[in-house]
Amino acid sequence: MRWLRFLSGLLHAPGVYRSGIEAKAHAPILTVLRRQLGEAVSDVEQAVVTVCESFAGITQRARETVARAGALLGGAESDGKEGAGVEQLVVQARATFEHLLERMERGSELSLEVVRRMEELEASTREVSKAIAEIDAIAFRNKILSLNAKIEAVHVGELGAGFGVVADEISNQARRSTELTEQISAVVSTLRASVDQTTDRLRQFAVADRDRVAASRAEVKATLDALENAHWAMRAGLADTAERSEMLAAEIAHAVVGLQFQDRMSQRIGHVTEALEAMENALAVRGRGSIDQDRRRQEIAGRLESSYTMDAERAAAGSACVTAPESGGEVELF
Amino acid sequence: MAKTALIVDDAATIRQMVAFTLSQAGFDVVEATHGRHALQQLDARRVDIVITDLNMPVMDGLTFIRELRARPETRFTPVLMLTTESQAEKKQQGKAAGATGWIVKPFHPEKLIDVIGKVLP
Repeated sequence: MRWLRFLSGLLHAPGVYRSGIEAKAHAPILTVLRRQLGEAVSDVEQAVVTVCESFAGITQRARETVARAGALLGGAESDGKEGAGVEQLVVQARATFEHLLERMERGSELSLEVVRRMEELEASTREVSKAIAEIDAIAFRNKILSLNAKIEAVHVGELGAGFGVVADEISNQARRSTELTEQISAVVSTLRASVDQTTDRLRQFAVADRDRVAASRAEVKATLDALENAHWAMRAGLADTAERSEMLAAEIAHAVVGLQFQDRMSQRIGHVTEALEAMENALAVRGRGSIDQDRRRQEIAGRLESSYTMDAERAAAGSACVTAPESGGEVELF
Repeated sequence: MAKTALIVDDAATIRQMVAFTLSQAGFDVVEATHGRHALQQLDARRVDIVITDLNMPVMDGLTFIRELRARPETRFTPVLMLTTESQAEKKQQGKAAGATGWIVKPFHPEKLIDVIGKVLP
């Protein structure tokens, strides 16, 4: 430092100590030098405080970022809470879609079941039509039978009158049967047409629906698989970020060790400023005589050595022999 | 529940760095600038461990530790000295005053946490 070199030059200048007046004139410089050193120490201390605050902020933000991302992704490796993480949502979505698709497939199966029942109904109506045709045929034969009976009743004469009445009744029954079978046939035809139409439409819908459900299942599976793959990629990224965060924390710890130079520097400069103050006082006393001057110088040197707290200070003053470089961090438990 | 550490040092940067290291390890941290200030902090709360410098204004580290050990409630509280001093004579003084351990500055954060883990019950 320039002021220490200046001070050294001052102390070794040949003419300085010859004049007490000249020494007193230089004394105020030491006050300035002390103040400059004190301010330099304060500036460095403030700078180191600011740097450490930044480190604390960096470390905190890095850890918060990792924690927040972990909570967002969810899963057992996050904060352990159930629910809203992406991983949980993917699992829930898969289960929900699976239930939905199963219900849709059951719906398609029900539709096909209805088609089968309709086809059975259609078969039943054909059976009914056959029965009606047979009934119609029976009614026709009854009609022929009644006609023959009437003819025979006429041949028999009066004795056949009752028989003729029976024949008429049979003819009426046959006619009524024919009318009824015609009505039933009309209804059955209408019913069959309706059943045929409905069955065709339902069959087409059921088949198309089953195909759509199968296609939807494939699409949902592909989408959820892609989402799950993206989630695992994000988790891998998060693990990498967490690792980098730990590396950052380790580097900051290393920087914390290095920044502690400020404390050591502060102490050493504090001792230097104390010495400067003593020299300042010694220069002020110099005007009284050389014997006082020597005693004063010895007092100052003694007080200076007693204030040392580091082996490096004692070595610089020549009062200790340092055999190994100071590394710090030494630990001893009692 | 988080443990509490009392940091005693006249240097703001050292207090800050030790506080940063300990808070990252999950400690609650209380600070004091010299021995008398530290005793006032202990009047107000209980702490689990004390980390103190040796050379401080108003009340130095050795005097502070003797006062600490004289109190029943802090007689067995672990006390680590964190100082630039490395002379054996000074270490003996610290041990005689009641210190639990001695760490020479600059400290390594992971080593500090490791030592604290060894002395804390």
